[in-house]
Amino acid sequence: MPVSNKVGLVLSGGGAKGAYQVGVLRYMAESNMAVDAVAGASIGALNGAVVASAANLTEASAHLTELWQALAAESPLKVNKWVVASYLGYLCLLGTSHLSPLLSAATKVLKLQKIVDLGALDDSPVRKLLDAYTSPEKLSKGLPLYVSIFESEDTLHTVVNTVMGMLGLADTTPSEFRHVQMCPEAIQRDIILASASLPILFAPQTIDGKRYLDGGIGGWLTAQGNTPIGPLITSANCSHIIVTHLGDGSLWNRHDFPDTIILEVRPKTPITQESMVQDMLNFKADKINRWIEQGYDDASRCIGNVSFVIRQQAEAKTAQSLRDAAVASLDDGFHIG
Amino acid sequence: MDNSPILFENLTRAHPQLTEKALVDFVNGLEVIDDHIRYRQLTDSHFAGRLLGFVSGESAKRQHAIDQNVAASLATVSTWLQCLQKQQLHSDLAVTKIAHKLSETRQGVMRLQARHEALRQDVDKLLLAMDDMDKNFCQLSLRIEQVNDGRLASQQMDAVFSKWQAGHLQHFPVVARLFLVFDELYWGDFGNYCRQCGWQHREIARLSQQVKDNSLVQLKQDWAQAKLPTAYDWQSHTRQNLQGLATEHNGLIAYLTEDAEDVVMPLLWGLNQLADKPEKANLSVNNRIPFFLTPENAINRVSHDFEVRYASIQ
Repeated sequence: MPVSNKVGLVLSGGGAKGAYQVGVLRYMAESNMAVDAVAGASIGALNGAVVASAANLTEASAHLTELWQALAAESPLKVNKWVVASYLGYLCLLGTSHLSPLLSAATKVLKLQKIVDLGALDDSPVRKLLDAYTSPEKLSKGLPLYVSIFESEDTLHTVVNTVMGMLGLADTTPSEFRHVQMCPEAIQRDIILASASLPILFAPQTIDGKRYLDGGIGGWLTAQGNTPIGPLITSANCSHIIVTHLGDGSLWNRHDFPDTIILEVRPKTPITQESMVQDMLNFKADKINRWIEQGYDDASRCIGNVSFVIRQQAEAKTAQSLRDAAVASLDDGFHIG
Repeated sequence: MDNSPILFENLTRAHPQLTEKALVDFVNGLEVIDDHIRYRQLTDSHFAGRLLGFVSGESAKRQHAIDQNVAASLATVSTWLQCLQKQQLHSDLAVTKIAHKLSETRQGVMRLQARHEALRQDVDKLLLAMDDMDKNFCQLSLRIEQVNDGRLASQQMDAVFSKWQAGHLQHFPVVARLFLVFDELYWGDFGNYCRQCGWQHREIARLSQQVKDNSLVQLKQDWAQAKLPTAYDWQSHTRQNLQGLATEHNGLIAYLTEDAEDVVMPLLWGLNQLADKPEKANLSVNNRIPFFLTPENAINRVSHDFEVRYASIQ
């Protein structure tokens, strides 16, 4: 049984649904809760970086609210026009390359350039936002931050494997976990961005000569990468872990971690507002605000219920101790007459 | 109830403990089950969702997750029930023990009540005894006071008669001397003693007799010198003497005998008349004064008059 009494926080991945975690953190801050370590995947890694850079959860909650209001005002996803044009060109050439040796040669050139690795979206707005709230200096003073990243030699191959995972035909390889503060400062931001680099949409991040994509991809069938609880148990030695999910009916299983006390924040009503893709990529203000409220309500319910029972149990134990002590005090050998 | 602590230990050993993890898994597991059921309802509402769930194995996996959480929750509920039952046993044993102690205490209190009652009766007796003792003490105190007063009265009597014997009253008429002696005794310790004890008191009677006797001894001498066979002689002798006295001495005698009534205190009344107006030539003799006045009946007369005074005060 765990004895360290350290509390960890897992922030799962889920694109724009990451706003849900803002509500969860707001509730935790209002309840004067504290955590000792944070782990995140994808959008959870970005949120986690803000939490780890803040002095406490109150400040983290305020920063996240500010950040997500900025995201609601202006979407961070900017289309990389040249890359999209290349995609379209490549797709056209795929159908016409047999007509002329020149077209065939052009197709080969585009394929060799690996245009899918260029990323359809520009990651500079995300980098800019990240730089506004985090820095290696702030991270060095904050909570330990773990992020999941997925090593990918071939993006298309990864996408195919992920689809196989979605269909339950084969699992993806497990994600890697990195303790951000233990990495060189120069690559800390790249590691965080790598964790949120959705394949095809964002370019992979090259770290130590290897290419890394969104950490949520790894271990798809058990959500090993998307719900990165592993490093909080093995490295941060957390005994109590709060897990936030950004999907309905997540198949992540708490019983895979029998020695850790896990509290899951799950939605009471569907977290999905539109389609899966739209919910991941569409940063609409009304949706973001609704997710924040939902996160707050779900955290209040899930954490509140557990707190109530634990508190009640502690009071019961105190009452029992008082009862036993009072009864034992009757054995003092005193008798009247 | 002596074996109850052993029983408590047995209970603690025999039953599993409800851990914090089990509690969290139970309460939070219900949220997980709820989430899975809600999501399954959503996906199973259309054919494609059911098909995809079946093909991908997600439905089976979800069912497994629900089953696992239900099983864990039931295990926790079972443990919790056992713990509650154990605590109920603890409480029942505690209540039994307290009831035994209460019974024992009640019996003890009843015994104490009986003892208290006996003690109360003893205290009542002691109070009565103390009351008696207090009365005895008061009586003794009174007696001591009386003895002391008697001693003082006796001393005063000796002092007064010593003064008479020493001739300090020689310039007063004979009967006035007797009156002054009685009057001084009346206002002094002797008088106090008489007023406290009453004229009928044995000691007072004895002292009174002693006063009479001492007075008789001294008065006989004075009487023989003055030659006072009749009341008329006494009256003329007294008037002559009073006329020879200073006015303030006459005033003094008149003042001291002012309350004397001619009927009940004839001798003192006569003395008052003489002292009040010593120059008056014709003076009728009170027929209540014995015609042949002797020291004995003069003493008896004055003594009687003073008895009346004592009686009037009491």
